[in-house]
Amino acid sequence: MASQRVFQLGLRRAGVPSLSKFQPAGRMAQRRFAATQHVEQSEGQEILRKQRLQRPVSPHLSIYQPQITWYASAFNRVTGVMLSGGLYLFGMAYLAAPAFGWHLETPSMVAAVASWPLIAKIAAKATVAFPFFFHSINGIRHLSWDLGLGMTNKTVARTGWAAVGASVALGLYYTFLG
Amino acid sequence: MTESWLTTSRIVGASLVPLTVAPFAAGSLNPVMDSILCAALVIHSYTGFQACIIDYFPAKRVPFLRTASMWLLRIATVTLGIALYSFETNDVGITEAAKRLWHA
Repeated sequence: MASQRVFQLGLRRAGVPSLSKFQPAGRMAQRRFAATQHVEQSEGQEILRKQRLQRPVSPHLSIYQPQITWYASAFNRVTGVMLSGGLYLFGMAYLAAPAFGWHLETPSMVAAVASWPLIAKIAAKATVAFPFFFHSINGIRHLSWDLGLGMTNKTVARTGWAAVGASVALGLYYTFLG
Repeated sequence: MTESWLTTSRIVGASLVPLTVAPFAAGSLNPVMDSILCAALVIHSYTGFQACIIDYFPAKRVPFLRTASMWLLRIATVTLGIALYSFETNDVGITEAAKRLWHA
């Protein structure tokens, strides 16, 4: 009985004349047809691309256990970008200085920095020193791996923490005493 | 001489170790060594930024952004080379400038 009713509903949806005279009114009496349109392959890809932008991303960096391995690797990249980015910015500014009336020759820069308060000098030195030493020491770590040295988990963790400690020590020394 | 692990980027990276230690030992570098340090830094920075672009801008996903950022990097790197050459010839060079600014 139920299967017969389901079959009739299916026929009604397909728009086929019913096999029985019983036609209940209400929401089942409406006939709808699914409409499709031809879409070019490229347009279909575009619809898919827009959908993908709105899909959620599975957590990755936020759920992986913090470890010296990938934290040091991320820090190596961040410090490298900071140092080289600063060098690029200085280079562009040095070439553009005459056009904008800036004075980036050494005497002007030294005079400007000399007039800074002590806290500003310490902040600027720390911002350069810590990334420089960490990136350099971690770079040596990378080169030692390239030679095949120290590739066990234990050694990687030890050298990683040693790099952090050495860069903190050297950074503090050169910020305050060097 | 063809070893797969001996890439240009590793040679440049290795050369940067003595080049960056020397100014700390000697105070600052003479113009020739300073220029060699600048050249190595320019190549090393280009290699590093190129790796970032390759990692974060996949060509299949954002092709225009990938090619545009690579070309922007090339132009900026050449400009940096010109800037450091100008700084070396018209000014004191980066190691001497760093030393003076550090003790300003």
